[in-house]
Amino acid sequence: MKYFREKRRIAFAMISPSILVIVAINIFPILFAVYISLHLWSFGRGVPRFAGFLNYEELYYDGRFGDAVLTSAKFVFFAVLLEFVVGFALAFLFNVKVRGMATLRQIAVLPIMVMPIVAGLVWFYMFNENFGVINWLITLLGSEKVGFLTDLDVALFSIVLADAWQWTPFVMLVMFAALQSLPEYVYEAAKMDGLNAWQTFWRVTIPMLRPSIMIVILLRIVDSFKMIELVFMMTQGGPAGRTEVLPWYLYVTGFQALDLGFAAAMAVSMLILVTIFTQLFLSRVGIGNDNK
Amino acid sequence: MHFENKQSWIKKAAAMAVAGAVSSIAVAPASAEGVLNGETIRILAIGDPVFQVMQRIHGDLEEMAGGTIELDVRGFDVLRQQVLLNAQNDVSNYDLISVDLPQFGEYKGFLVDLAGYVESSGMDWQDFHEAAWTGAYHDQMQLGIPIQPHPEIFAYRVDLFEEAGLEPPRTTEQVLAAAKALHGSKDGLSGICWNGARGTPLGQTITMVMGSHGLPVIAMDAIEGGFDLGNVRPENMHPQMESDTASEMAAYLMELMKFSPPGILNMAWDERVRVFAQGGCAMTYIWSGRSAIYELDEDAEARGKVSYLPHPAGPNGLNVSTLGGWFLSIPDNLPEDRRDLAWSVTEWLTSPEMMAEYTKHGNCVAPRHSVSVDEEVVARCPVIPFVDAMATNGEIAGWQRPPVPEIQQIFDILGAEFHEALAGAESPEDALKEAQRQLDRTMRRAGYY
Amino acid sequence: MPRIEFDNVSKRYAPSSAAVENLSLTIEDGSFLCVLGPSGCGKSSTLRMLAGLESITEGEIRVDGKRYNELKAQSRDFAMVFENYALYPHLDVYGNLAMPLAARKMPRQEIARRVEEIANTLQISDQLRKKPRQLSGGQRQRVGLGRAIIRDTRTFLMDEPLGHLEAYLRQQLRTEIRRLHEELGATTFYITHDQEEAAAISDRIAVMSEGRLQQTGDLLTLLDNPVNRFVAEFIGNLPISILPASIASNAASPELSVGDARIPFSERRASEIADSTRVAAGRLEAGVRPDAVTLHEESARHRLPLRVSVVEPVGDMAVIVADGPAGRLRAAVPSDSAPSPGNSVHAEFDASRILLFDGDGRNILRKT
Ligand SMILES: Nc1ncnc2c1ncn2[C@@H]1O[C@H](COP(=O)(O)OP(=O)(O)OP(=O)(O)O)[C@@H](O)[C@H]1O
Ligand SMILES: [Mg+2]
Repeated sequence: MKYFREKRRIAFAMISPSILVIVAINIFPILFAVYISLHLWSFGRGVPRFAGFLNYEELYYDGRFGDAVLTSAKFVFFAVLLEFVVGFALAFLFNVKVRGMATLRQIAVLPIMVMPIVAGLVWFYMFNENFGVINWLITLLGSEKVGFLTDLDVALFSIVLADAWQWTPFVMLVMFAALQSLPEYVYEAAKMDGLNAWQTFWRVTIPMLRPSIMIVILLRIVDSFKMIELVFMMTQGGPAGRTEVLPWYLYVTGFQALDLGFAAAMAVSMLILVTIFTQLFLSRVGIGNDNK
Repeated sequence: MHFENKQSWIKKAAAMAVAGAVSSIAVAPASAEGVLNGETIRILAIGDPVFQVMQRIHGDLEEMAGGTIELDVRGFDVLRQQVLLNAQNDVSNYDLISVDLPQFGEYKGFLVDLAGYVESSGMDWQDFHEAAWTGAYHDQMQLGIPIQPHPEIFAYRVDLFEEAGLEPPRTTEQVLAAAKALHGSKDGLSGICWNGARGTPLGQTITMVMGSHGLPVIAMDAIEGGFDLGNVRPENMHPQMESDTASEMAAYLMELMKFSPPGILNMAWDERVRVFAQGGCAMTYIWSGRSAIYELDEDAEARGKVSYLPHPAGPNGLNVSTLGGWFLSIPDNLPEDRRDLAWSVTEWLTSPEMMAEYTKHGNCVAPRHSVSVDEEVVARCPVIPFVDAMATNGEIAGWQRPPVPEIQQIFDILGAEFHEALAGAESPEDALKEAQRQLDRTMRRAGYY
Repeated sequence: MPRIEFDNVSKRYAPSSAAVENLSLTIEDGSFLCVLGPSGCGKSSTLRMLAGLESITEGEIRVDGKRYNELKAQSRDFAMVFENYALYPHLDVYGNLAMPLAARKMPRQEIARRVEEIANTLQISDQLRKKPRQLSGGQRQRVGLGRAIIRDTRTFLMDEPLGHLEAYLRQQLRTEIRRLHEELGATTFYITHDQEEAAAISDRIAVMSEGRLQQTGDLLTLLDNPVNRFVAEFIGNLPISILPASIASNAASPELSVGDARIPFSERRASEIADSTRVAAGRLEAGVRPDAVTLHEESARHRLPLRVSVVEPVGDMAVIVADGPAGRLRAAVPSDSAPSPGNSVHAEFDASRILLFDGDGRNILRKT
């Protein structure tokens, strides 16, 4: 008994530095955000004034916040859907053993290396109606210019496309690695059990890839939920707020208007949304608990 | 999972570094002559032309100054954050900071009054454009010296106007008539370019155009020939977006949409000038200094074919252009013993010689009368005498963008809400009403009334 | 029903070397064939070609006379037990057993019924909800077996299915496999390293070496009548002794000389040798299995004098390793009459069981 208590003390002493680091890096900023969110505070103008839940109340009545949540949800949904479907298909394509495939694969993942802000700039110019390459091509083909960044119904999808351009290769890479790590013998077993290609895909490949699929989807959801660079470079939330995702609205209120309390309330709400979502997602897909 | 705020801040900082301009420049060998006399000066600057020019000729500048010039160039939002943060330090990290004209309201609490220096050094302040000089005059203090103030004016293609037999447009009515006549008259030619992009660009357009319709966006006191920007009190903070003037302004912008180039809803700052430069539109609203984009580009179609006017006036408005742009100021947490040096550098950087020098490198701004008559300067930048004349005629003012701490929120709310109207997602009336509601809420939150 | 023919089949993974070379073999309908051979001799390659998991480089595989070379594995309708089990790691035992049936779109209740039945047979009914990695090796092996036998098929391919199990379980399961084979009237192609297992389970054993089929037959045939020195050495619980030998044809009656021993041949055997044209090749080797040797204290003309080096007890027998000028000999004798190391002994051979190999290692006394 005494031995174990002693041991536990040592163990605690050993891990306490890492606990401190975690508290400092992960917990403190969150607590600080919560603290600010309970105050009225404009950066550079006096001290924070305590305001209770006023900021949250305002958030609740602020139509723009609600719109931003919806826009974010739409963006995340379409971006992740597109990235996943295309990335997954590409992973299979690249899994074929043909000469030169390795090089092709390396080229295909290049967009990941590009800084998101630069990707935004590139796509801004690609989609631009006055200087853009894409509209130039469209007019060459004799069609009307498309308001990629100004059409109410199109703009969000232009951002989705730019995001997909950058992150589909990531999905592809992860799925490719996962595919490569699938044991060959399972496929032999499937052949011998008489599964056709379709059955093999749905009954063997997909279930075996499931953990990787879930991880990559989760990563993309959380990451695309935080996307701001493309909006910053391409539309600033326009047209008519159709691309105003949460992080951008947060940036506008927090870093342009410097309404820190309100922005912090938004950040905390966002954090809660993401946390609830990821927890639900993780428990639904059952990563981490095997005996479901 | 991280604290969102913090993450995006870091991302933004990185973003700005790429998008705008980069960082302080390394130390150069100091010679013992010139204004610096071997010392180091630290400037927190904006990524706008005059400071970009300084970056480009940094080596020459240091040689001239005989010392080290640390020039930290930032994007707009990051600069503002750093200025505000720096103000909270016990001791300022910078000797000089760059201040945008509408920011004086927000910053005036922590800037040094330069009046004494102006007097003792015998600076010829009357050589500066009056609107520029007084733009930094708040609460009986001279808070900055103009280095790159320039107005947003109106540019039009003389050749196209003559060809079509059109008068230079001094009123919004004439603008619309000309835009209608010229829009589509040539392949790829639109009537007019302007800042239509959501957020700050459109927000600024609205405040300025509303100004040329005769009213500022908040209820400032009317004074002789304009409104009193040097003395804004809490009761002046009421937004005026449900006024008749606001409706006229809205109607005008809605009309402009019909004669604007494709992509107008995402068009801002330099892009409108580039479209104008390549002949994509016959007129454009333009920050005068940006005319360098086509005047100094031999391939630009608009080069040498452009004439300038102040902002066209609305039915009950004035021909006034909005003055904006940058001043050099000294933060009041700078120790006394460094202030003389800071002032000397300010005096040097805003001297006629240096202003003429900047025009050589693509900065078509000269807020001093003496520089505006320099023939070489005028040859490089045809816009400068136009601006000088406007300054002399009192056609430049700063009240359209009131220098209040909430100015950025005003831009943002106007630029976000009215974009709904421009994009056809909402009626202009509703957009104005919603903007009024939000501005009102903002002012109440800030505790003005 | 299925009759499997390998017709001059070769397999090359790389152009230069063959894993399987010119293999011809027929497995009759309903028979149980074991393939024996040292590691790397091409057993798995052969089985995988038959399964359709590996392409056939040359030759033809026919089932009931039909060419199978190009037929996809899925369409061959063979059930396979893998050496490494090859269970689906993401499915529990139930899911693994159900897979072949699900692939054939069998109704759910029917699947459930069959799985239960098979699980009972294999005594894994209480393991159905476990994932493969929660099972012991033996349990996994049984799942693998169950997955193969759960569906109606007449052909089983088993690659060392019991290789990783301990002796007791192995014996149990091999009985089970044989029973299933009989019950289903199946044709079975079975790879093993264990000749005792091969003997116990199969109708016929095929011995392979270096990609070539050496000989097929039951264990006795392989022991007493091997085609060549390789089979003779490979088959047999105790290693065969190989000694240089020659025919003394000048004697009155034919004699085989091994070292100093002169062993008389029966007339019939002598004539077999005389018939053989290979004798002319000159160098001969005699192969003697340990149980065809007796040891004596007295010398005789037909006995080989040797000195005992090692005595290895094997149950109630002892293997005596003895050396002489002619080479090393092993003899199995009852423990109680075993000599001690250092003793001189005189080995007498059972002339009827001596094998003779020519210079190429071929058995020249082979009865056909
Ligand atoms: N996929 C492959 N690619 C290249 N060479 C292979 C491949 N599979 C087997 N070989 C080679 O073919 C030869 C025969 O291999 P095989 O697996 O058929 O032997 P085996 O008789 O089953 O051996 P073991 O008893 O060890 O399982 C070996 O030399 C092996 O190295
Ligand atoms: Mg093998």
